[in-house]
Amino acid sequence: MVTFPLSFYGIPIMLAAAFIIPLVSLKKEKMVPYIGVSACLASFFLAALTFIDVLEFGILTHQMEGWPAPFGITIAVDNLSMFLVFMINFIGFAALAFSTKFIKERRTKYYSLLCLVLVGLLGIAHTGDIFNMFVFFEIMSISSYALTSYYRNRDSIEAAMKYIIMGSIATSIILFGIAFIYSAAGSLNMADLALRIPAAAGPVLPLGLGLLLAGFLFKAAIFPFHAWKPDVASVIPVPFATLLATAGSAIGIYAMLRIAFTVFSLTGFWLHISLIVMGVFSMVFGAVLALQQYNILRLLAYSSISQMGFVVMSLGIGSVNALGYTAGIFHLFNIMVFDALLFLCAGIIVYHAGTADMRKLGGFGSFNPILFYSFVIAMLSSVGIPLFNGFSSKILIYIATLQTYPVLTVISLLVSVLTLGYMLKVYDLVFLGGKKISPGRIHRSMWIPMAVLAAVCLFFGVLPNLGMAISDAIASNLSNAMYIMGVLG
Amino acid sequence: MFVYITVMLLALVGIYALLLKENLIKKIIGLAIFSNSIHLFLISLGYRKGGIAAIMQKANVGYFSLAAVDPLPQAMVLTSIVINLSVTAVALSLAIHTYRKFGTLDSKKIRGLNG
Repeated sequence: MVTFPLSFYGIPIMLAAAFIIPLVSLKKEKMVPYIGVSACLASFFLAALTFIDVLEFGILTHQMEGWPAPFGITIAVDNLSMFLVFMINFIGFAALAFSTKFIKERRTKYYSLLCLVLVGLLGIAHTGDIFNMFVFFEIMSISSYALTSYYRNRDSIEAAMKYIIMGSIATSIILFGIAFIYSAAGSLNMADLALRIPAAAGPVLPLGLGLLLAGFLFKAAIFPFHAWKPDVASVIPVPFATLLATAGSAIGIYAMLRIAFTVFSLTGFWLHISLIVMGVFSMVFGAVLALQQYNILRLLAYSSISQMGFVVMSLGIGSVNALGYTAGIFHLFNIMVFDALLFLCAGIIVYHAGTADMRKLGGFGSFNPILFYSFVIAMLSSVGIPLFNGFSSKILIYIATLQTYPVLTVISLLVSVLTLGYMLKVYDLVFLGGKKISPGRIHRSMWIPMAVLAAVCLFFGVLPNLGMAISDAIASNLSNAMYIMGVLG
Repeated sequence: MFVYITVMLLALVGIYALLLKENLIKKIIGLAIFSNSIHLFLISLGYRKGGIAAIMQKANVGYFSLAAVDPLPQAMVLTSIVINLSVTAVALSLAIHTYRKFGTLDSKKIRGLNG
């Protein structure tokens, strides 16, 4: 029996990798990608080991240096955070491996910063303390700001400037919220806060909660806070866009769930209705704006905003109909897989054609069968065609909405049709149109991550039971009784 | 009470500069003012008039919890100041790059990405 969350060692491993990479590059620049990839692989195996334990025991905790919970630094992983840790490592590994050939210049800085982004993401999922969560958010954000300007051309500098101004407002707002919550409840430990908050009434707590949720939804790029995502995703190196669009958004949703359900144990009307409204607006706006794009990366960024809208809407339904939680979490998993696959396909297209503008692209249908089939699988998944993983969770969303608000089912179906529209646009412009490209080879560091992701898409499309069982285990544990027990003992 | 009004005013000045000023340097200054207003707020939460440092000794065990200031906000502010320093540093270096590429710091004139 393991009681220590081994996956926590992923954080020091990635942090060590981030600082060893610049040292090694002084002697042997060729080694840099291998250090990043192997560190992430080690972290991935630890996460897989811990996932099995967490599914069995429900929650694993560790108090740093043996200080008991409200005073020390708490590491707590339950089903939800373990799922996020596993997926971050999985997609981080795919992105780091894909970068080996994709990134040709300034590899030291790129790998070092990407490892730091992973440190931030893993830390947010592990920590049991709202202030540590803020610190890890800042680690992730500052490394992302620096990586956004990686190409140092006009577009990337402009996007980085926009991102740093908007992102810093968001993180400052998170800090403001933490200050309000601390002033009203007098603790920073999430489990301790969950016990104190029912007793601490007053207008300050809802204010703090609102500020925190606004900050987290900004990081998740949900509707009123989505403006940064397409700008950023279209100018950064594609493997990093893969990580930011999937794991970066998912971690925002995770933090929102952690605060809303674990700390505040909210199931009330206002959270319910505001999540539904924001989710629906994200779905519709993301899909409509994606239809108008000609830059493939911008289109995919809007597509991921639209898909995250599905998750938020169905989590909002969850407080009326518990199926919504299961559907939302399963869809979050599926989005992370097929969106990562879509971005990696776009990465290969950008790598071989040198441009992301779809009006100048064409003829990739004859380029390579792996690219073609991966894209088709990811496209059908994102639309929600049966036998692909997007369908197995979308059908749950349709059922959950039909049982509560049938009008949302209609909207979801319409957005799925719009998804088919913009995906066919990519298919048409990139794979069919233009003059034929002669067949070419894809380096193995690129096709292996894509093949693995495509296999996962197919696996959960044909056999959704495993995914549904895990999502059910996560959804039934969203309330905080077990978390408080696990942390405070 | 006075300190909360100051916090409010500083936060408003910061947000005003962030949203309405067009010069990027002024925006970054606004960002620093906004975060510092939050730091002031946090520090004021742990303040106690005539409080002693939060170091427990043999001599002050008896009245420690009644007299000591809250050390947690100080630790938080210290961390946050360091974070804020690095955000400002990255933002200023980006401003330098912006000036090199665009020849201006006016955020109205820097508009390549749309839609």
